[in-house]
Amino acid sequence: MGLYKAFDALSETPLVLELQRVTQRPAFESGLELLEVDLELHAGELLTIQVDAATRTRSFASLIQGILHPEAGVVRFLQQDWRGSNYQRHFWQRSLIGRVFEGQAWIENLNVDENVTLAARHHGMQLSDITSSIQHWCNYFGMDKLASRRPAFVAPATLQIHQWIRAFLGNPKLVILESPLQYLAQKWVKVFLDAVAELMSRGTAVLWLDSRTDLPFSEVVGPCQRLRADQGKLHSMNLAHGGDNE
Amino acid sequence: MARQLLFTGVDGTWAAMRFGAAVGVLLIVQAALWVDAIGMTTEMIAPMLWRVIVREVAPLLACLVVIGRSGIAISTELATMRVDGELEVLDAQGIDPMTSLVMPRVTSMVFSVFCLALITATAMILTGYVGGRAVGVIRVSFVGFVDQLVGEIDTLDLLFFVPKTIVAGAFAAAICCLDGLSVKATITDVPRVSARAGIRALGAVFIISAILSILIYGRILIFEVI
Repeated sequence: MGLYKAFDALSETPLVLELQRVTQRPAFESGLELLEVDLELHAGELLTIQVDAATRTRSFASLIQGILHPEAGVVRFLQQDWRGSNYQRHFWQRSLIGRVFEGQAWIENLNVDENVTLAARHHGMQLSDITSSIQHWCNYFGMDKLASRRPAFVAPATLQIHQWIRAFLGNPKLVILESPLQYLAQKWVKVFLDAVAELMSRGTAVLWLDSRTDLPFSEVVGPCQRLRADQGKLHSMNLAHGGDNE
Repeated sequence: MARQLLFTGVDGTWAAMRFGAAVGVLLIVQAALWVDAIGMTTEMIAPMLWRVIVREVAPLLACLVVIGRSGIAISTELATMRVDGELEVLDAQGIDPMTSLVMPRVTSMVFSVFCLALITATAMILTGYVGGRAVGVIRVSFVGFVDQLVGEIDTLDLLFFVPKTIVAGAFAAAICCLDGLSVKATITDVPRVSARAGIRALGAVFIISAILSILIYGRILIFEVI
């Protein structure tokens, strides 16, 4: 079993995410299955995993965040695994991860703007920093301000952009993107990839899980490691890496 | 927390007053029957009202109001949040659902039960007096009636009232929250879990009430047990 390095040229940068011989058979048939998978992702790198359109990535993303635990193997974030009962450390580690969820992403009895700032406020981020960061990303995505209505009354495309802003708040060490462009028109692809590139330039590692095959990662973001999930294994899609990396 | 207090405590005030007023009238009607039967006097009714209200009925009624209005709603809310994946959303952002969802609800319910028990007791005493005057069971002035009640205040009553409302409220809240969180991943489980939470919380309130009565007064009804 080979060890994936998301981008060899940058492998001197700090290791953010590491999966060692991880096996996970999700409870739901459509979940992403992993069989003794190894993975490394360093600061400032982008790693994409292409999945089938019918495959749901939520359980895999939760596995990376330590919400679910693998049947076998170890998941490490910032060199620390998710085992043990030091829940304070787990919650603190999760506060360093931004995530665009596939499926349910909102607390329905809070307004969207409250949802977006909830974690940042909870983790003690300065209000002025929250405001300036939100303003920056609102400007980036062409919005005046955050929506101040319940999620049920906001259009899916608008909610998806709010998810981006929430995931990018507070300089996260890792951002997990589950089909981040769903519900959005093609014109948003370049805008979002530019935002991802900016995030990476700040040292954020990005894990992108998607079924789309038409995304121009290399053109906008630069060299990155691209993997394809198939029958529990991750296969390299980078020609430069010589095909399958098992 | 503030929203929960508003919903559980403030919004429940009117219901607590209604129930308290109704039960106050019921009590005085019973008292009137005893007056006819064994010739009780006002002096005997005041302490009876006080003890029944403060020691038993007001805390129980407040718990019933809070469980009925908020406990089952909280259980349903948490169960729905779990099924919908909202708890996972919180967890994924490094927010502990226990401290952000459960603790504020438990604290609010405990505080609300205590406050609503006071309101219920007040409503019962007021309607008890008005009802008693109306049916001729109470013949003293309101000030005299209150004087008699104040004279009946026993430190045991306060010792009983505070833990009874707080402990029973805490158990009811914890049961409603934990039952709500115990739901499996299907929306059809939610009504069943909520109903179960309500029944279990009610059961716990009655059992705790009985246990506290035994511990503090050493008796169940008229039977000495300790």
